[in-house]
Amino acid sequence: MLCGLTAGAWLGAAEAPTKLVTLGLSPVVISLSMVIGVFLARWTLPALIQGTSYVAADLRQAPHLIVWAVLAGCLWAVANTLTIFAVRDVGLSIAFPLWNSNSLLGIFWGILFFQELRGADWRRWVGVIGGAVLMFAGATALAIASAAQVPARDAARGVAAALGAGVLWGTMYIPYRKAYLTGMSPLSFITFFTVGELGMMTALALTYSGGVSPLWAQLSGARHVLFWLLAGGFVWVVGDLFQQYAVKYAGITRGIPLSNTNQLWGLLWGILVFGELRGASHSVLAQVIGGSLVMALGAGVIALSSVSRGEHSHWQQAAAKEGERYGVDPEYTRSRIAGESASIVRRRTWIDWLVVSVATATIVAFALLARAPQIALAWTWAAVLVIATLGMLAGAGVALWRATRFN
Amino acid sequence: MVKVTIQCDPLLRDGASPDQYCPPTAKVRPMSDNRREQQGSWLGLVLRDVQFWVPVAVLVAGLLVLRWIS
Repeated sequence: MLCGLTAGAWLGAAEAPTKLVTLGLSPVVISLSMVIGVFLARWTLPALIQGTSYVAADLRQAPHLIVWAVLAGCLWAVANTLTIFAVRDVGLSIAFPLWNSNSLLGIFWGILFFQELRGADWRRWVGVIGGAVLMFAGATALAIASAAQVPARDAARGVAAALGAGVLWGTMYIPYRKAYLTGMSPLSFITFFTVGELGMMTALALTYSGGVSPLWAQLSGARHVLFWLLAGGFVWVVGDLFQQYAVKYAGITRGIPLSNTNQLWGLLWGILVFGELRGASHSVLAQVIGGSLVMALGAGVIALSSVSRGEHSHWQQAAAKEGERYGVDPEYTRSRIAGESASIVRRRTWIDWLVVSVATATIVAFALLARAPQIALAWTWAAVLVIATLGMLAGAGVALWRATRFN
Repeated sequence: MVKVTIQCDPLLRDGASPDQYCPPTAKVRPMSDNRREQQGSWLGLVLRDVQFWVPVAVLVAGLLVLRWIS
């Protein structure tokens, strides 16, 4: 539960650097630049935390999960691109709640394929489903209130894009759950997830930019702001990592709705730091406060619907079935679902330090090229939010380390 | 069965001949180490998994929607 809430804070904070980007960049270039930052982070963090030998040991136990991870990455990239078109066509107010429906679809897949909520009493069913519906309603109210008055250019296409993104993201939780029922560590899963992510995003960027030369020209033209996008991608990965741990240890039905609190954090950054909604009418402010309260209430209801012993035994049945299908050592699955190491030795090699050095050098190079954005910021509020976000990272990180050793 | 596999591992690693490990007894059935065989066919197992085709179908549909709207 703590991981889900921390994921929300970091995924929300990841939206902040994208606001620093001045207009004029193509949406596909923005998305690709963020994915490059994501790629760097997804290789650096596992190398730093567990070491690549740990990732390799994980994959030897369940090599089939490479395919699932790459597939999940492809789903993410297409969904992310669809959201950009959705915002362009119908505006954030309609698009955001539509693609946030992914948690409802995720709950559906969790119940249908992975025996989630089976063996749970009616209070937990009401808590999870009711909480998700409350969060959806709150998100709708918030999105309407924070709309940037983007004129609807092509409503049908925009709605289709937003719904499509929701369906893609909701379905992406099938590979997630598949991996975590087998016992794989999120740190191992994301290493290959990002291969699919970057591969698919590069293919989309080349297609929609008109080829290698036009894309390169656009990236070169945007070199002064690429660092901020890379940084956004890096922050996003930290949030996503906690989201993955939330899915592993609390299931899709709890983990995903809780991490969808990112909309609340995005709103806090927008209003407090970037001065959005300044001079807004009382009705708009009432809508924002009301929507936030409803969303927080939904998250609270889900957080209180912890996984029962009966539900856990159904998860174990689903995990056993999965292990049997793919010939995974049952002892590995059992111990890793319990958050134990399964006798894997953690050690860092020169490969880990090479990965970290290359990633750091790349980020430093882009930082040297970057120019400070000319944008008004409320620094005090920015500091408060950064401290709060780092505090959540420390709290959740320590709790996760004590309970699972990041397995 | 798991215990047998763990006991066999050092012998398998050290290149013991098949008659040196897991001797058949009346109570314990010998267990073949088929993990290498399973590793070779894991792609086939993925392709035969019905759940695999759900995200694949959604991905194809998503690409078609993207092509339509762009």
